[in-house]
Amino acid sequence: MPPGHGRGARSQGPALAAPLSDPSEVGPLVDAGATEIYCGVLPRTWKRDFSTVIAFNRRYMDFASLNGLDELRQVVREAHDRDVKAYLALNAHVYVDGEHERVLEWLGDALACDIDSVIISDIGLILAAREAYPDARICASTGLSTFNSESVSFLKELGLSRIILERQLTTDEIRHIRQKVPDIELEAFVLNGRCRNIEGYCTFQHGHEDVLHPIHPYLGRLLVRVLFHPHALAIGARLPRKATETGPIERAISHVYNPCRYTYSVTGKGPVAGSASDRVRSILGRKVQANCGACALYDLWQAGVDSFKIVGRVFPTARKVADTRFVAELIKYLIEEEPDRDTFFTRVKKDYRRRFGMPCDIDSCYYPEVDWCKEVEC
Amino acid sequence: MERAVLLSTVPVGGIPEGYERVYLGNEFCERNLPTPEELSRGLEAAKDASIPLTLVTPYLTDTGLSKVRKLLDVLPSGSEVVFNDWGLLDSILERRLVPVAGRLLIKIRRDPRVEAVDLEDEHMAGYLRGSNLSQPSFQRFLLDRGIFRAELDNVQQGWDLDLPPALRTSLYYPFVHASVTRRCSLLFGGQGDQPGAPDGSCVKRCDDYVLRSSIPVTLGEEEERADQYLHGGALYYRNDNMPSPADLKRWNTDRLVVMTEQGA
Repeated sequence: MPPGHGRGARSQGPALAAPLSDPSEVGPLVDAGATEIYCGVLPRTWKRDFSTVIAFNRRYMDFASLNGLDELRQVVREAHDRDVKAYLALNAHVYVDGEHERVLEWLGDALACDIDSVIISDIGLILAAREAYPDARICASTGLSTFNSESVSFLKELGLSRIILERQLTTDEIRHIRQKVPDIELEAFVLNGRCRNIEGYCTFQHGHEDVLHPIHPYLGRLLVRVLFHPHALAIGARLPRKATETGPIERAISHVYNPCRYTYSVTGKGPVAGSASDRVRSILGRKVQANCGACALYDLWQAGVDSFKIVGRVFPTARKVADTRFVAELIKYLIEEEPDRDTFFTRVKKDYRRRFGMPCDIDSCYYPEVDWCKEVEC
Repeated sequence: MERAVLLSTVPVGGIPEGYERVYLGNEFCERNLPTPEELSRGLEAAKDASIPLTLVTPYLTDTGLSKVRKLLDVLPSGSEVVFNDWGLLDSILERRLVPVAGRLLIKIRRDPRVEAVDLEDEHMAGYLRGSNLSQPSFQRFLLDRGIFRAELDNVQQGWDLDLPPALRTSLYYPFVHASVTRRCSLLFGGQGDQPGAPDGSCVKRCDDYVLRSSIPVTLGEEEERADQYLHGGALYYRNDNMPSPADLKRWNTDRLVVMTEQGA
């Protein structure tokens, strides 16, 4: 294993941050191997005034968030009882007038619940939070689109303690960032939620078509219009928590269907190869399977990444737990057995197939540059 | 109102006439930046046209940062640089250049489907027109760091802005960027079935091709659709409606940046 970089806890292995949306999930997630949990909260007063369409923590279905401070307090207490840290996501890209002050005030209440850190995207909120709560530990959300070492240094100077790196960085780029900025925690994604677009720069409204498209495509289109309609503010966009336990909804949630996935035609100055538009269509319309970067755990740990994140606050408990166990077992294998790189890749391949029932697919790969399919028979 | 033209390269015939400033560079892709030599030619062309040049830069990896620093070294002191990555700010200030906060740093909802929204509704209008630029803490942050200009998209819903007089804005017209990706093999640029391989081997097909898609955007029985354009790593929609003079005044907008390449 590589030498530590000053945090002092590197010998214990990397942290594993698992998503949570219900207090009952703390125990199963910790048992599965999570060393940190992160969650959002959608306060009832926010739902009343703004609906779930207007995001509080970038999750538009209320089953993806805790329901209030009581639930947050319970989650933090149970996590701390199990020696696990609890992070709060306040990661909307921007909070506008009317929201900003309320979010800041609400953050004070959340800090009083003894959360370990808060994940923020909005620089204005970071600045205001630093001023109002100087002792608060703040993580830079991936919504800040941190692509380079100077940005990491910039955020460090703002007082942030951990940087959740942009998903579209390569392992080499992450290694370079770590070499240039050795004394701040870095977190990288390893499972689920890898969109083609850069999260911090994408402004599509999510959470409407996505839910219903696989059931009926026209319902999806209808729903987006309904949710954009002002009356939606009063109605809210609520799905019962149990809805997530059903197959179609789960598939729907993982099947992004936004304007970026429509079919494109090609126009241009020169001749277009006959297969060009077909190819574009095929890229956009490919089957969706779990986005995974588990094979990069080896390189990212060697590079000095401190924490690995699993996406999926919207997923049902069983999915969250299985995902957490999948990554946690690989981390345990990496730290305890100290395999060589090829041996580790082979294990990842085997575990992925067992977990998801299919071989991994480079189109769904977080770190395709690792391209281990070329090195190991898939 | 100053009129500027946004170009990725300097055309053979020089800078088009009718503009008082040229923006040269790329907001969304570090692979498609001008070389120092191309930037020097751009500066010459701007000089020939007797107009100033603003360098436009994208979000950056460490590799991109090195490339852009070489470009900054070419610029005369006092030149404007649109930056879309906080990691570049110190490099701009160290060289006594003038930083301009780019569109990627100014957050607002840009989904083209907002056309369906009833903006008479106070909550929804506030949600869609609100941005980080309207936050006093962010305004102070910009001004404290010597940033006196910010770049705005011509979003359909408009902006809720109450800016201090020192903070001016530019409005990009007519293309509004809605999303950005680094995985741009959508432009069949080169890596076989590896859409995510950002290994720098770009063939810059975005110089010649644009992808176009038609998406439903409105409520009602008659489905209305709008085109969106995928150009390089950025997804745009087009909004030809110019804001009213009163809106432009309220937003402290004193510059129009005309985009000509994105929907070709």
